[in-house]
Amino acid sequence: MSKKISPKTKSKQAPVPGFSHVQTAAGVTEYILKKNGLRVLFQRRPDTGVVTTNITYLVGASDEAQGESGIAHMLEHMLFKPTTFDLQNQITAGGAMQFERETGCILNANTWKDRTTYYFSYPTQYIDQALTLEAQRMTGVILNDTELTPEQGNVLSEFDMYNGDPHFALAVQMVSTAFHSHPYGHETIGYREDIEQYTPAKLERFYRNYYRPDNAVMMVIGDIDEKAALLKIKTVFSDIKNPTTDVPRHSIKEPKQEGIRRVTIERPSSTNILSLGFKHAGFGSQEWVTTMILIQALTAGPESIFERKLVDTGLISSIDTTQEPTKDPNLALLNFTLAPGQTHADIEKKILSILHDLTVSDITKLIKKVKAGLVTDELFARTNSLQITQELTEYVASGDWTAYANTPTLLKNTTPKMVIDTLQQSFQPHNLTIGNFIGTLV
Amino acid sequence: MKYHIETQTSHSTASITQSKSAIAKAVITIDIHTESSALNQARNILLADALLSGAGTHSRAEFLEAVNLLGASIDIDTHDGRCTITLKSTSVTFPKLLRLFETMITNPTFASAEIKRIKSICINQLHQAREDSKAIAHEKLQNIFYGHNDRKYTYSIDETVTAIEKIQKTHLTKLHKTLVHQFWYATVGGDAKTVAEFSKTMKRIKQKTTVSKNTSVHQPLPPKPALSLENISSRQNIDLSIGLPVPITREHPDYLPLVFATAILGKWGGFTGRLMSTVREKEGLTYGIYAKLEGFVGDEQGHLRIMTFFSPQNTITGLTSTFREISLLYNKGVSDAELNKFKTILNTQQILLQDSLGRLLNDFHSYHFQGYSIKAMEEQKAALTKVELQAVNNAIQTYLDPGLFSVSAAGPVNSLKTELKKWHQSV
Repeated sequence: MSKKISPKTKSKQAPVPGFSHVQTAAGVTEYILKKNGLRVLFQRRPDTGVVTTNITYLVGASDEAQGESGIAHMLEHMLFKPTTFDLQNQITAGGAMQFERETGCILNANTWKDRTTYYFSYPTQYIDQALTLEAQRMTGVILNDTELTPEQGNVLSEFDMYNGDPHFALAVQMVSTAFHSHPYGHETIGYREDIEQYTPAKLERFYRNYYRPDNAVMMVIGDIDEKAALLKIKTVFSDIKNPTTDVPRHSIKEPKQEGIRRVTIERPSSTNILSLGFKHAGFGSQEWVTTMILIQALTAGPESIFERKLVDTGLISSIDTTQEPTKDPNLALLNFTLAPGQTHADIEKKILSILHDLTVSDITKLIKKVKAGLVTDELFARTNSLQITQELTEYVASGDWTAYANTPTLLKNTTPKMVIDTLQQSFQPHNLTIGNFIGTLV
Repeated sequence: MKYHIETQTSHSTASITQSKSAIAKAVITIDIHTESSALNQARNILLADALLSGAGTHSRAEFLEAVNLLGASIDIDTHDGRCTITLKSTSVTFPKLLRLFETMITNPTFASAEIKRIKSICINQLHQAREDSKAIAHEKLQNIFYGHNDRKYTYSIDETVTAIEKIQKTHLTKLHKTLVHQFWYATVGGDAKTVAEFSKTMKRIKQKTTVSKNTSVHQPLPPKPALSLENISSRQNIDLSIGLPVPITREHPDYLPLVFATAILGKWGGFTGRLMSTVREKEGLTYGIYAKLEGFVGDEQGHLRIMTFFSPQNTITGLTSTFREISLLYNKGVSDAELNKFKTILNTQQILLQDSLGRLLNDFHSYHFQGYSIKAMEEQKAALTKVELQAVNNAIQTYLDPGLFSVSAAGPVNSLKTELKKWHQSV
């Protein structure tokens, strides 16, 4: 199992009564609002005039029941509709939408396996409005057919947008083949058939179960004084009560896999894809970082193993990969788009042979370069408030945000031997899922 | 933050100096367009990989290794006959990256074996692009607006593949000569040392170049409504690009009013445009629908484009709704309240740039490469706040006649062809 490293910091006095200081790491400080358990992450970035606020609810596709796939994502859409507070104030477009339309702030949201995230980025003067909107959306969303029906149409349009892409269509089949029981076996957007069956009652139940202060983390990163930010959070959130019931959680352990799992889909397309999926450790761990380095070494950029051996030789057109930052072990995908005239069987054989033959000395220099690139990327990612919150979001959802502070160390500590060991474990038959997208157009 | 532009006869270097910046980034734009042909388009596509495939005494492998060991990156992109090179690294490694960049630019190898490899890769990638319905809808719309001789015209994948097969080292050597001798617009962001090193490197690279004049042909066609349909049966949605040519340059007094008109119709990104609030929010017909002005670079005219997609069953309804909004804009114009709201929105966008050196740099470069001085850039930004309602509504009346819009659709259109043609004739 993966091991997570957390830096321990000494507890100190919170600058605003009503909050407890929890810990500080990488310039980010965590507080907890004692009255209802809302967690706050704060970092000051002076002289920019900009603040990003991000509220992340610890609920995502992995909390969905069978037949309700995608409901976390559907609910995310509904939080942009009018709330009861908006209707009292005759804001028919919904408070969040009106906020964007009147101020020009950046606003959006996204849902993933373990979390749902809402964010605003704006000039500092608008912080009161932004925080108030988040507090109102935590309790006051209106879920009825009038609001749901058009938004359902948009989500179906979004689904079709993804599903028209052969890579996505194959990914859906790959995860459902790799996971027989664990909820990571369906994509976040859900199945079209389930989306069509949502009702306001189903959404309401999901909303009441998971949208509550003790299941949320409020991030404030930007050009604002810490005390002022905490006072504002206290003002708008402290009266929100948690339900008396616990946050419902699945406790599902994926059954043991005993050989390669395979899936094939056919469509009228000129695209042919071979996908290799392997299970990897949860986000925030050394193993996750090692897997990331492995995937980069295999596929990222012209020096990577498969670019040199398969793209440069004309056997495949391109490679793309996914490795999701999820709390539990998940499936990473290496997708190879075949060059015209190549067969899935030949490319699969070639790939498995390349993987089998890789040694520590083959990749030692490559790993050094991959690590150097990742360190630079990490540096760039930590230079604006929006990106900082986006990155923190994934750590929050993984269960221990302080792993954010450790990533540079984990990158540094990864050795070529660790990468080869991970490779050998990852591509064992009992860990592997292989998929073919077969385009039936010549 | 300190802004500066230093202009020489062969190049212009703009900089944003941020003390203690741990990162360094530079963007260089060079107009490499000569004449439009499938061969030149093919040559431009190969350029990026060719430049990164060996330079000076470095083989391709050695060159890439040297860049990657720094944790740095060199990205090269060509679009509409312009080459944009982006350099990224830490401040510490930036001087070494600049030395590698200089070698790449002054002494690329263009080895025959590498050219053969690059051609094969590009042909495979073009094959993959045959199902990129969004890009195809966009390109086909532009081809309605611009003649074969225009830099914005895109040759078909088949024509490009045939042309790539004909490319030889001499084609790339000639293109490289153009690249080196054209005027360069370079913008850098980072600490004082980064800025100084970059400026020195630019001077060194460009000191021996003779600046040649761009001879590209610009061939915008008069607005004429057309319908382009491309069947791609593997897609589930029909991707659409809808628009019309706007026969003015960005210096024309109607340009800024049109910026507002377009933003009010469908501001790119977010949910503020009218199209998002009606076609998406109220009617639930699409996940995204945006409008923007494109192609207004220097003294070139451009066009307005709406980008969206609908499911096949919603396509006629979606198009009808989209054209309803265009007609509403044309017939009723915009209100003072709307205009003021969008002035606030554009002002906020300027403030948000301050959050990131990367955003500031991209914004600064977008003005710099079009020849704006810092003063001219500030004046244009200030002019946006002074645009008047009458000017916006006049511009809408002059340029955005719904009857002149063209539609380009790519996706599973075969079963809808008759209906779409009938619908288009009725607009």
